[in-house]
Amino acid sequence: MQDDKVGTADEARGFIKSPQDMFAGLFIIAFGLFCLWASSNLTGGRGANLGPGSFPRGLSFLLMGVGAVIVVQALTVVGPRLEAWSIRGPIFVLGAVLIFAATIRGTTLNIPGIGRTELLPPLGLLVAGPLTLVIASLASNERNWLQTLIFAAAMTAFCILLFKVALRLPIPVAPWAGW
Amino acid sequence: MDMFSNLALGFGVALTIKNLGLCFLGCMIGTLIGVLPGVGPIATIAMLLPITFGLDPVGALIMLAGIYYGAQYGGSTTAILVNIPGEATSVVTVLDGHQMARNGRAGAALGIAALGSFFAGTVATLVIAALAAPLTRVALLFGPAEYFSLMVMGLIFAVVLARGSVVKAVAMVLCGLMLSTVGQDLETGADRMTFSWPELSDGIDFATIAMGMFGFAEILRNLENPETRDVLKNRIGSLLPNWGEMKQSILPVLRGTSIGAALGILPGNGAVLGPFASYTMEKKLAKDPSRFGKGAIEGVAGPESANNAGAQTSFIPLLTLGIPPNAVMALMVGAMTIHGIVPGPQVMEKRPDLFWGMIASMWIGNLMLLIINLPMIGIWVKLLKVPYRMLFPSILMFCCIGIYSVNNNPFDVMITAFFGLVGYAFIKMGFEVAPLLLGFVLGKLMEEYLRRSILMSRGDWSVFVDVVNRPISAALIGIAVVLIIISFLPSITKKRESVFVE
Repeated sequence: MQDDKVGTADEARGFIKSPQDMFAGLFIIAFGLFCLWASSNLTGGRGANLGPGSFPRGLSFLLMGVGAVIVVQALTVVGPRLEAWSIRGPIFVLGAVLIFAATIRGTTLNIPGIGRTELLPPLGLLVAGPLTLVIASLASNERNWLQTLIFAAAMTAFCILLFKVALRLPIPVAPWAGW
Repeated sequence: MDMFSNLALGFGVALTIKNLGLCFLGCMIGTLIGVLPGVGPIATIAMLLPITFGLDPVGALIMLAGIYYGAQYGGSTTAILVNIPGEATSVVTVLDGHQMARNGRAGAALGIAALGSFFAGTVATLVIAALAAPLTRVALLFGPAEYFSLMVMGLIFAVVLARGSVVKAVAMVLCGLMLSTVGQDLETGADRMTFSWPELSDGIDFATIAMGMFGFAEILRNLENPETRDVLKNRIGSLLPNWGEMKQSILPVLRGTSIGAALGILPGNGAVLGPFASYTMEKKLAKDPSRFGKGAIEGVAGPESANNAGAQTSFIPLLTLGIPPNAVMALMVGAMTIHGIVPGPQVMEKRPDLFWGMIASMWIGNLMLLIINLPMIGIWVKLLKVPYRMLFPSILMFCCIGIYSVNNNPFDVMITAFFGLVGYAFIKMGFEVAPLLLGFVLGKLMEEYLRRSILMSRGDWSVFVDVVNRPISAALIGIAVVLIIISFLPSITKKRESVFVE
């Protein structure tokens, strides 16, 4: 799976023996706290009658407890460092997904004071498809524009044939042309 | 015999032209996607879920089961030919399978994997048919307290068997349970943790978590590691193993099938242990253990049979108790719910056509895999050479269309992107996300059973460990506690590490 750097135990480490676990533990504690806050408006119930808030609140405390254990582990057991995060992958891959979501049926936002405003018209798969594929391709290091464009066109055609024509899913292909 | 009349009913359903076609199509597409490097069975099923939406429930489940077997087998093919294990259970196949391929016996390795899997699948189908009815009767004895304890035990099993740190796996299960509480409370109708977003009041869709954390996060991780695909350049050779290899494989296949089938029944992801156990056993029993790792056919035949047997018997907890034992079965629950079926003991009584039809189609699916794969291996090899820079945008595209189609709602697609980011963060923090998925699927049921048990016991929390009145529940909790203790014993921890490293 991931690079195991556990073997390099001789490496000098400071107070925090496993940065990855430290981060993980703190994250879990933070998530527990967040959920405790988010469920604070729910009634907890008494005695035999557990309310809607009981289960989430119980889980929040368990999460914080487990998070604390992970933190303690991070201070005592030598573990892997925190790997560097890549920026390019998440931006283009997840960006492509968001573009798909925004364009497939258009985007309308309810802006206070102005009311419902159409930010993007419904564009359908015919536009959203190539857009998503090209943007996603930017996440890769290799680039060949011609190949990417041909690929995007072919893949979109394939998706329309498979999902719209063959499987008859109700996905808009070209809403501006009534399809 | 009851079992055979039931199976006859099942084959009556499964052998219609339409269902045969769906089973074939499922196996075919499942293999097609499953063969792609870096796409495991979970991602495959999540991606292909929407293409079954338009079908009737029986057809949809038959097709999904086909996709599952196809994806499993596709994973083994990748393991043997490319040296990339698609998922945990084919890790073992890589060891000797890829070595066999290097020695020019790729065909024989693929052949024995297919034959062994087919045999294991046949036995497992019979095991399911034999155990389904009695286990369902047991399930009817279960009250809310027993169900709750069973789920606790299942989750603990899954945690102990997950790769990496046990504590971190527990954290993931808890996160999954927490995510399942988002949305309207079933009893009071109160909005929980929705932050006044109307889109969230129906809860988080299972498909968005599955595709985000498995599909998208996996892509992000693969993009970071430059590819080292070692596609076989040798000839594949004859797919039929020669006589000597056949003889060597018979006993490992038999042993692998029994181990795999037995472990697969356990609630909690027991199936994942099957191939490891089988490999260790074959190595111990072999006259010359040093051959292992250098292309011993027993090292492919045993684990592959165990893998397939376990993959199939892991349907048992789902079909009889309604509790999915692993992430793939959790996806099956999602698919059943979309078609309005609540998995559990009542399915067998209310929809015998669906229940036995699906079991019969399991065997047909295994037969089809044998027929599809042996002649089509050349096509799979070509697919293995598709560069990742074309592969991942396509996967992304299928996922987007798939999620959009679940509710025809673009908001779901955005949520999925969010979970993709979360999944990527989890990978960076060294978390294994499969337990989260399982926790999420069990969460709603667990809470419901917990609340009902406490209500029925008038607020007495000892109801789960009441040895006198609720012995089953107490025993299940007992097993869970013992498991947790064992997993923290130093000697076991070491062994566990070595199993997953090997």
